[in-house]
Amino acid sequence: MTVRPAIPFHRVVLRAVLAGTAVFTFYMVLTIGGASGQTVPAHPLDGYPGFGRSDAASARDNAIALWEAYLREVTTQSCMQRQSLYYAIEVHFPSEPMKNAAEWLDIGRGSSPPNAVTNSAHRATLDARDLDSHSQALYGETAADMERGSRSATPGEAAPEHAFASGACVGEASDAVGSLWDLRRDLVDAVRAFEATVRDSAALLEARAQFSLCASSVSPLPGGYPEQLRASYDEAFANFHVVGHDPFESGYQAAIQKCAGDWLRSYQDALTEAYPEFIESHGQLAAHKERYEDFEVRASQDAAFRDYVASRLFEVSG
Amino acid sequence: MQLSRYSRLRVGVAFGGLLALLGITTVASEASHTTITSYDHFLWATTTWNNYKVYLSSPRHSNSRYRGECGWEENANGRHWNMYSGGSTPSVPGNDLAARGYHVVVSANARDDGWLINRTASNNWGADLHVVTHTNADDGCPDSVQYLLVMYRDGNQNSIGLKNRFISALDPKVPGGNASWNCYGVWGECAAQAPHVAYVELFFHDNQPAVDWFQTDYGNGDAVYQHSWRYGYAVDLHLGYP
Repeated sequence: MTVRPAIPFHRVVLRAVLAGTAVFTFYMVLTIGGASGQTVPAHPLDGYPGFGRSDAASARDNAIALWEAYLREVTTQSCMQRQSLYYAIEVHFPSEPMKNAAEWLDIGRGSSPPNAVTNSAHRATLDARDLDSHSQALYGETAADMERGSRSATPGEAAPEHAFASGACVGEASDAVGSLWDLRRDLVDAVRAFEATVRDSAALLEARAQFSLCASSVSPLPGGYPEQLRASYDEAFANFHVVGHDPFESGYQAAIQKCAGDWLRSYQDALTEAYPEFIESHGQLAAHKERYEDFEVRASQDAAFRDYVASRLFEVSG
Repeated sequence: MQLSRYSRLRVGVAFGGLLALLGITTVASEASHTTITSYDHFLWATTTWNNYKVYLSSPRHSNSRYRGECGWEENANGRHWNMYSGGSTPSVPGNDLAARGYHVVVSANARDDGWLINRTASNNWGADLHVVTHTNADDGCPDSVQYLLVMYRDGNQNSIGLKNRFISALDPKVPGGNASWNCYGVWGECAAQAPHVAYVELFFHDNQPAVDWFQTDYGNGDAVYQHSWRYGYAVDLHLGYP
């Protein structure tokens, strides 16, 4: 029998901490998917603001959106000031996309949060009459309706001409500045329908057959491409779902892992081939691109914007 | 007592497992039913992004806790469901929105009447789907009214389609029947600019059996644990698995 030297207790603790950290890190990677998700490959629409799919193009879109949101706030503030009413610039933007945009704009974290009195703090100082005037001037709604988040009306009655809380100064700013997302909102479903057509096209007949054959070797679920397989899986899962017992999950995951890579390569090639026609038939895309051509220069020269974003980064980064 | 090297190793690994469990519990509890926060939570798609951005809006009632709740407060109910649906705490791995390829924001649920902050953030980010999740009340706890309510924009086919998918995915499991009605022009968050909007009142938080359905087992909500994946399922069905 081999006699092994005893291990000092502090080394046991050290190993325990290292093992714990490794398991914890593995759990975090599994559940959160890394700090910034999966890298998205280049896409034929990457050059069109609002339609960026790759990481860089998506960050550029966030940067434009953040700048436009700031400009709308500046316009809202001017509108309120014309009526001798207080309004502080407050850009509401999800924190992670804001950091992503700031990074693209090369804006670092400031040394303090925005120092203006917040709008909610200001509104808290107003009496009922002034608060109502403030709400009407800012949103075109009464203070009571704003607090409730709804217009005093009976559910089901005909919708008014404008959306709730989208009029007055907020409406003026929205009209004046616009948004890069307007065209995206108009076309996002057309893009989806177009890509679905490509997915089902004759050009990918062979790729679908290959995927199907490959998937069937590890999963009983039918599917000619990953999304179809996902739909089959969902249908089976919805019918048999019991937490802790899922007879289809391992097969589905194995099929994706084994077969999706080849499919994606063929699909990307088909998209690249087909997209010029889509772009040509949607002339708005070219005009939209032109509109944002000098965005980077204008945003980089807007010192007040950059200072504001830096102070917000302080706020969201702590 | 002198432990062998192997025994010490086993002690070390067991202790390490305990530490890991402690860490995991700490992270998982971030999504717990007790969380009230003024910070949003972002979830990157964990597979290739499918080009859709989903804003999951949570309640921000200033009087949450005093809205007739039999159990957890309304603001917590909405965010808790959203966190599971989005994928922060995956109950059914691979079935949440992030795992299906969506970028997801789960809004803050601070008690600040900040519904407009959620709508504005969603608009500014360019969300493609804006989904509001609240819980409902009739006359305060205890009450007998219970149904799933999904509101939509009248005349908007995207919103009507999404509403139908939510009802068909959720109604088999949410207690009681279902209802739906137009919310555009009435409720502020229905006017979010996302092309696809739905406003869900998941259950009545002043109905004790419904609250029990939502809260019991697993320590953090049986219904949340078992059924939050149905949001991702409904959205994928609605969009045709983009």
